[in-house]
Amino acid sequence: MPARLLASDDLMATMDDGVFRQITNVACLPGIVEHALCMPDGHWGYGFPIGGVAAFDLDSGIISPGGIGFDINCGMRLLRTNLTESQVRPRLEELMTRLFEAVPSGVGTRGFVRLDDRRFEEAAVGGAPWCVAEGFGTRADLAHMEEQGRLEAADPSGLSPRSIQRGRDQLGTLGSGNHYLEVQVVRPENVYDQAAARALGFDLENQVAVMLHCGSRGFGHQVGTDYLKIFQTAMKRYGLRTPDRELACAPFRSPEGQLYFGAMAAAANSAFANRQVITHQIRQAFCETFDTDLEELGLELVYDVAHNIAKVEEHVVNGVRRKLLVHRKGATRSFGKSQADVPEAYRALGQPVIVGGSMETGSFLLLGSDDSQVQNFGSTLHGSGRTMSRVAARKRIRGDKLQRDMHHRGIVVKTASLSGLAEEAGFAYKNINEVVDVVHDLGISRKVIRFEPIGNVKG
Amino acid sequence: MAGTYRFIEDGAQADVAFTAEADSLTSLLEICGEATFAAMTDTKLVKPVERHTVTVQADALEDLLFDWLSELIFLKDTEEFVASRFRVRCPDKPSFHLQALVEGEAIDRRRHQMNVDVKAATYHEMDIHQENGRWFAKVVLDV
Repeated sequence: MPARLLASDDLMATMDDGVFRQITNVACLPGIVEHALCMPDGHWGYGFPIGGVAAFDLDSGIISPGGIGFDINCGMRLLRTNLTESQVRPRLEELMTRLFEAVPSGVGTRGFVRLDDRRFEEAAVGGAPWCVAEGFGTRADLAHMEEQGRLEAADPSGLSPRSIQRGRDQLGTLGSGNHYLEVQVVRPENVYDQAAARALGFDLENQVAVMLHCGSRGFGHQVGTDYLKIFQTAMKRYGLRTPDRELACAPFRSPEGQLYFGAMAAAANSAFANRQVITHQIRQAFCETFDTDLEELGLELVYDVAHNIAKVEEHVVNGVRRKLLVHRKGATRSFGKSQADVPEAYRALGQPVIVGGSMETGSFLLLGSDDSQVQNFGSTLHGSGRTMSRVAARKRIRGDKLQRDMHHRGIVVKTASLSGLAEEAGFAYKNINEVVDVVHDLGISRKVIRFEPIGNVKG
Repeated sequence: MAGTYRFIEDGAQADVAFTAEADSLTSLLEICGEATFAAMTDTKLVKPVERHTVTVQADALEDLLFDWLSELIFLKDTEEFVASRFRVRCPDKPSFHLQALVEGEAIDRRRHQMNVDVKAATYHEMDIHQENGRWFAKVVLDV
């Protein structure tokens, strides 16, 4: 099948050769339908490129951990507050300190929720609804998440004891790398669609929002590592060959494929649960800082989307509606208003798409369109995409200098690692405006708001 | 450890890659273990006061290296442990059977400057081979 890359001329020129090789490999996988896709934020990944999307026939197609990523259901969550920048600024330093303390970040951290193996498995299968039942969040939260925060396919029978051991203590932790928790502002000049912004609850001048980027932590990574090994053995049995070991796969209908699908869905649910517990912590930190309650503060969920996942979805191919296994790796679902899984509240708008930018440049809220359904299996971009290695970024700026520079520009940064901070500098990423313009101009998802950071907890 | 490692810029824009070389396979595995922890923290500040044993069985060199590093990452997450000293034995017949003593300590954020978290070993561009009596490896770590 063909490979299709979505990019402007300038973005295409900055894409590394690995993207072209990897998306070509994806297009050759068994059972792929129509075309392999790479989003404009695409860059070199493992197996699939980051930004890769591919749909497979359920009977003749495969499932591949390399098409989902190690950090299963790494995703974005957006909360809106009833506060404005002028109310938050005087207490910003205190707020960021409380958030930094409430949400553990960095290497080898434990969350405050203490679970034994059996209870962690329950949380992993139960996802965000499990958290709400435990007192972390409200039922209204669940109505504003992809899949209401729980994939029904979750099945613990394919989980190794090691994956449970690795994940057990990490619920409610941010992780490291490019994961973050940001306090952001909606400035009037950054609202592209007033009516849609208002319908999404952004109707105050300089309204404050909170954005979260994290995933399934060590649990998801162990599931990915386990099945990378299992599939390499299984491939011999099924006569499958791939040009890259990171593209290890199994027929979707095979016992191994089904076990991975169930385990992957459990890891995805653990990521929904992780973001839900962190949301609880964010709300507590705001209540303590501003000495008031949630009724006054807001902090309602706008939406929560996965950008490393595989799901069975219905799409129209050559005029025929078919069930397909859609892999999205560094790509976000972008359903239009006609789709059943779009929450009731957004049926007149389309599904919210949350796009994380670098911590210096800002992030976007977009809306999905029915056009993305036709062109891209209902998929769009997920972030801005790196253009510089971590080693190179660290050589260019010191973490403490970047922290001071950002402070001068009014952005308070709290981090567990100054060298990790330097690696996430804005210059290491593509220009997010240019990347987002590609999907906006193609009609795949349309711009509503750009958020500017004023506070950042960096993992 | 009779070997060296170097973090490199190519091969993993979003992640961490290193090359390593040593005078024997066991030294190479030790130095790759050290590089994995060095990606996360300054290993010079890690005292070898706590010991763990690691065993790995593998048929191929790449699997041996992948499984060895995966075990170390597992230890880091489950024990909140960082290592600075590695003693590897690895009889290679009929298959590779690695036995290692790994020394380090529990993560202490006041003393250990933590960098980025290594979450998985990968086969991406992985290389491990012997040439003119020396051993070489290239590894990309997912962070």
